[in-house]
Amino acid sequence: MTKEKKGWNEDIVIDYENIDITAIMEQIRKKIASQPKKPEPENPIPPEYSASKVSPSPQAEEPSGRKLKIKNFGLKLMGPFSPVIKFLVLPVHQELKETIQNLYETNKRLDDSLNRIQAVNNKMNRVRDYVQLLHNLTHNIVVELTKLKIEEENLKITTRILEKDFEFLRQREKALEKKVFE
Amino acid sequence: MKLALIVQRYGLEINGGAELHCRWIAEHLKKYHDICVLTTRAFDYVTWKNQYPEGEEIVNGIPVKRFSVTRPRIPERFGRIQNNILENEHTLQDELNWLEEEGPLAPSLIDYIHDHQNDYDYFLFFSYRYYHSYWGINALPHKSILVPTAEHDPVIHLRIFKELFKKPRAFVYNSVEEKEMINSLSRNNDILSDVVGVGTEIPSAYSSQEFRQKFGLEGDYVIYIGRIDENKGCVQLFNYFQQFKKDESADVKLVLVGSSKLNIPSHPDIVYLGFLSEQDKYSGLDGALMLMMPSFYESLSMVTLEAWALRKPVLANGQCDVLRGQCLRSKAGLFYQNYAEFHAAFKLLLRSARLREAMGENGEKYFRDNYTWGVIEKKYLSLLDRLEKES
Repeated sequence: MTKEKKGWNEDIVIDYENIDITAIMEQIRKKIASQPKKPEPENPIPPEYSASKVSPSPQAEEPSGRKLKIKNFGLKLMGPFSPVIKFLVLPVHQELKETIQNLYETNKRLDDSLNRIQAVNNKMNRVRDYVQLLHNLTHNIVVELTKLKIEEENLKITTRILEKDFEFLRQREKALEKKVFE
Repeated sequence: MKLALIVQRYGLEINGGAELHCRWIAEHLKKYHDICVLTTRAFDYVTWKNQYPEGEEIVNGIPVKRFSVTRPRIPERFGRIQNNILENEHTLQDELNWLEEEGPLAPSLIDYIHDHQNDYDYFLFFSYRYYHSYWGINALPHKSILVPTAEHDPVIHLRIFKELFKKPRAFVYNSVEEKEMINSLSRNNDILSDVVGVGTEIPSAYSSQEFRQKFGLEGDYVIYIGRIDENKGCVQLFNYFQQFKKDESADVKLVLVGSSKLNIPSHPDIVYLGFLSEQDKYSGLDGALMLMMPSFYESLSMVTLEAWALRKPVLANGQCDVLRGQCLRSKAGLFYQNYAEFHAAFKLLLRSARLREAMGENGEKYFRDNYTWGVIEKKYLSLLDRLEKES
């Protein structure tokens, strides 16, 4: 039996003449457990992206000694005026202009939306009127059909009466003819 | 003995999966028995569209009878139906509808099996999950032998298959893990079976030197051979390999061989060679330090056996029971279940030539003992003999 320890695998004992995969895997797992956990690569960054590295920007030089004292004195002197200075220096008017522009645009969009809603509303009203008209029309048709049905019944009855009258007249004709020939 | 082998597709153009498995078995058993293959006219395994001519033809000396697919598969519709049955409560009829959608829907093939049952002694069905196996076995269970080629696929838990696995006269499994999975699902331990798998033919001439010259490869490389697909674990392999290259200064390339369905990352050490001839494939494997096998689902990885035949160790995905089991039994492969394990096992194999050599030797012995064609043929013949004695 040859047992060897090699390089990185110093703590992995392998019997090369009788390889035991279970034993190797157990040793690998033990080794992993004793080391800091390696993150699971989910979506590794493609190499072309990882190659582009941004170099850090050079930091501004820190003032020192006399310069620092003058700077602090100047800041102290400007202290009470700082809100006015900020107001003048910072682009507040630009922000205001942008906000007003945004509000104007929003207002325009709202107007546009209102017009569309109005248009849709008008269409809806027209559709409602059409539906009302169709309803009335259907009602009238039903009434007319009912009247026609009654008329039909009346005509049938009239026809039956006329048939009976004709039958009576035929019989009367036959009777009179008989009398004449006698 | 007259045997019919039934498979969803068949042809020289189909170079993987259960179809190739079936062709190899047919071509090796023809020395001993009268073999006929019954299949469909489909070539495309997504739509099962009829592409081969109908009727009988001879493929490498085997008579092949092809039957028309009456309705091609619509992948979107099939996907919807499959999601529905996998995610919701459903009836047995829903499962049968799913099976019909999955296809290849060739009722004339089933009619033929039924009408000609007396012409054959046994019917060997390849791949449990298709229309031909389900209805074919149901038509004549007493003459059926199933080669399930099953993986840890969610559809195996459907009720129709639980019942199906109780019906055939015998099973030919690809691996011990596959047998255990089907036995635990259907409690069919009493059915005659054997773990056989499939052999492989190593070409007599291959040269890693020529391969390196042909593809301009220098330095050490590891190789992946097979369909480059997310299901095969390739995305995970790319991520792990790239991370490994960031963590370590190892000068090793990952060479990919096979048709790709993925965008392969543009990394200087990931080399994609596309689909290669058998000779180039073996030459590439011969020159590699090891085979990478990242697949999550395998019923039997033929390329792993080929690597072992060429004395190459394997680094496999340990989340696949079959690959893990094969590595443990052969003593010729390590496996990983997360990046830390991948990193450690890969590093160990890269740095220890002696370990690679010892594992390669074990792999070759395992291949010789279990997966040479002589062994495979003997197992099939012995199973058929046992069936004959039983009847």
